[in-house]
Amino acid sequence: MAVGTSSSANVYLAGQEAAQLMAQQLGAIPHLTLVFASLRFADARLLNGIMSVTEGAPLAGCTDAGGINTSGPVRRSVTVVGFKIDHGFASVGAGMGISVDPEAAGEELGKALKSAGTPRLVLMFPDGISGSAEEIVAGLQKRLSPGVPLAGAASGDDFLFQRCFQFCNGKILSDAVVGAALAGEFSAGIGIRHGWEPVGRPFRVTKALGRTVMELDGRPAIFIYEDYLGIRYEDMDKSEPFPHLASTYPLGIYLQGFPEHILRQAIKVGTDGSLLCSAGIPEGSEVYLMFASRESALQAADRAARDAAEMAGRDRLKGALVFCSVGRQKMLGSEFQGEIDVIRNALGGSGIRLGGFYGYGEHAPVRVKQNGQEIIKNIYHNESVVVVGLGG
Amino acid sequence: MNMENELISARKQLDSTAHALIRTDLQLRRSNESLERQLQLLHALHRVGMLITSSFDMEVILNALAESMVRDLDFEKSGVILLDRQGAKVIQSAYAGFSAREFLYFLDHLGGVLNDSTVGREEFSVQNMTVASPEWREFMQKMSVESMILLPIRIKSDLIGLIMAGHISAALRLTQAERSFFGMYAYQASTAIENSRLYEALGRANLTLEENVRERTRDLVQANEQLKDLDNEKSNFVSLVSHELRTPLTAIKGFVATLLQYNHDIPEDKRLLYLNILNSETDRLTRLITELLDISKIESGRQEIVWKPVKLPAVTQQVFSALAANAGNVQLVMDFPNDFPQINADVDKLEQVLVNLVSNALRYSPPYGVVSVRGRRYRDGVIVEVRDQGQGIPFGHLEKIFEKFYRIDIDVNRKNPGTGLGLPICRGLLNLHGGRIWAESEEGQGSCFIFTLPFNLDKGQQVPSLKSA
Repeated sequence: MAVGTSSSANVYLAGQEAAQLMAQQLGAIPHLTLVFASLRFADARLLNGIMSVTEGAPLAGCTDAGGINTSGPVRRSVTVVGFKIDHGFASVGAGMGISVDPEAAGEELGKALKSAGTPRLVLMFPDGISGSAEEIVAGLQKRLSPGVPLAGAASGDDFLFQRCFQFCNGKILSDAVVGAALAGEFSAGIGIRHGWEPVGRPFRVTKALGRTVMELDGRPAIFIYEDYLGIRYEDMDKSEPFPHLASTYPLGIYLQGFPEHILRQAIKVGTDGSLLCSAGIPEGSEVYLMFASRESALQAADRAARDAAEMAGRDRLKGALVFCSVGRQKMLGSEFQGEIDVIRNALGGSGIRLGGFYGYGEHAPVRVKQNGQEIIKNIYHNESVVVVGLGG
Repeated sequence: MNMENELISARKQLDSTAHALIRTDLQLRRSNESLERQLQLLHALHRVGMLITSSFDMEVILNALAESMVRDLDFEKSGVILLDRQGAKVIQSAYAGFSAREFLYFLDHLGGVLNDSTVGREEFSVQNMTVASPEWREFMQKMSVESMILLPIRIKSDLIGLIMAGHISAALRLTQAERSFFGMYAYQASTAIENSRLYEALGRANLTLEENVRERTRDLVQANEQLKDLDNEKSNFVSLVSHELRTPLTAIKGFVATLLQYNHDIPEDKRLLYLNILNSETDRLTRLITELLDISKIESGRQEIVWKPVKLPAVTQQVFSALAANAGNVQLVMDFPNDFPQINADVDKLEQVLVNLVSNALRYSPPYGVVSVRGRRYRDGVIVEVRDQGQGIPFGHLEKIFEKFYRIDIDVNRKNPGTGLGLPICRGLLNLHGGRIWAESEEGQGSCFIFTLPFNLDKGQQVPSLKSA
């Protein structure tokens, strides 16, 4: 695994430069290329620049809200991650129209990824604004073996919450899910944590439909924010867009077996005071407003990295993909660089290569209890950090 | 029941603490974010300041400004234009993030943007698609931006350029700190651009100065050469004049000494001869001194011309009458058409010219020859020919005879020594009138001296010098 970054103002040259740096580090043309870029790089010229170096190697990726490379977080730039896979294969694919039929889009992606063989690890990058991540995962899993771990993150758009883009080979897509499948002789371990804690009293979801929570404790769902933040919804957007606020104070739901609450971020408020969330919250469940300190967030990052390293095998670990929630970046403020340092240290220090991005939702498998049995379940998360440790 | 109440009360208190915690955290976070944003802006300002003040190259400055808007200030697209001194025409530009097509559209429709009163007046202008006028909406749609900021770059109050930056999918809302920042940013840009322009002007001035110095040095070298020539000329002139003065003086001195020493022994006829020679040499000396004074006046520019309408045929007639006694058997003929025009000239100087030319013609004319003066009109003035039937002037001497003291070494000259100043004086006087004089001749076929006089000589204009005539 190798990583290259560029922030050149010229889109084509930025792609070319980042890919050249990556190929130089890798010492070869990669078998798979992942691309994470700021919104201004959502342009076919970027992919042309990259593919002019990678000689058309399979490419998947998306726009982000900040990139991550070995030295730390980067802004307004493009990050290219290249993989060389021994005795294996890599394939990429896309599923379209996730706002209309996310499950079908997931299935379409799964079909494309499985066409080359059974993968050991699937990375997925859905649109971070449209579509239900859970349904995409459901569709994808219809085509993949149940044990295949899914990791990744939802595309971002520099924290604007307007429109995200996905990359698949030479194409720029939107309202889509793209993914990459890897198979071969490598080790992988995945860690996921967030560090948020419930604060205040629990609220019961009294009315919900799909991703929309209409009522909490019989009142419009927005009430939870109005009450705790002390700001009327009409005034919230005046200081900062609502999704920004909600990413710092997400909603948490209890999941049996998982050491933390599962977080859900509200991304839009309906005229009736309902909350459109990044993923569904079942009716009848108990939700909390969640709160994190910088210390708890950094501890969570350390924990996620250690879990990933142990699962992949510390001796074999060469690098890691890091998918971070943009909410963490916002919450950590000027210390968000520190989080990547914590992860690098937990993985083994400066010899470990890092690549990834800040997005609008994370995907990672977690161990949960279902009907008294412990199972591995691919779940969509918010405000979390996912570390995918990769070893040779 | 008490315990339940206590529990409820404790939970309420905890919840109330949670409210306070969240609100305090929110306030702290916002303050922190605001500080961080200001730091980011200051960093951006510092970075772009370093870049644009470290170069005087306008292209580097404009590119740094365009790139800093997308690299450091979170815009997806940006463009910078530089206007000419009148603030009307784009003379240089740079952009980042835009496609070439979008930026060309911006350049083509810039007029509308510049005419917008907000851009002309305010420190900056923000346009958001949702609230923009239809014209601005169309403008932004064509450039694929959802919102944009326009920062006029001014020097004093003159608009010299514009920085434009846009978001492709978000509205633009500026905090007070950001407003101040963009004011400083535009000021920084204007300072760098003005410095670059001053540097360029200084470079141009240096080049001009160097060119001027080179030119002046050339002029000085040339003037020095001229001075050397003049010095040589002066030495030659003094030597020539001394020689010319000594010849008659020697003769005068010799005859006066003879008369004094042998006064009573000299027969009457010889005494008369000597006195005639003395008279003739004295006349020659007087003529020489007069002509030397004339040439000196002409060359020093002290010769004054009294402009009056002159009838040349009448002047010629006067000259003929004055010289009739010297003509002997040589016939004097004049030929002027009836409509020969009057010209503006100094009548005395023209008479002097004609006396000189006709006297020369008579001197070189064979017995019973003809000396003619013919005048005619040409487009810009008159042309006069003085022709004789003498032995002519060899081709190589045609121009030299106008040099001071130059005389062709021929019998006639030896027998009738002149001063060698007549023709240079003629040329000098005619040049002062804006005219020219030259000679045409074939050996054995006589000579013809031709001079021209223009109608409309601007009295103020510099007349050609003797040398360039």
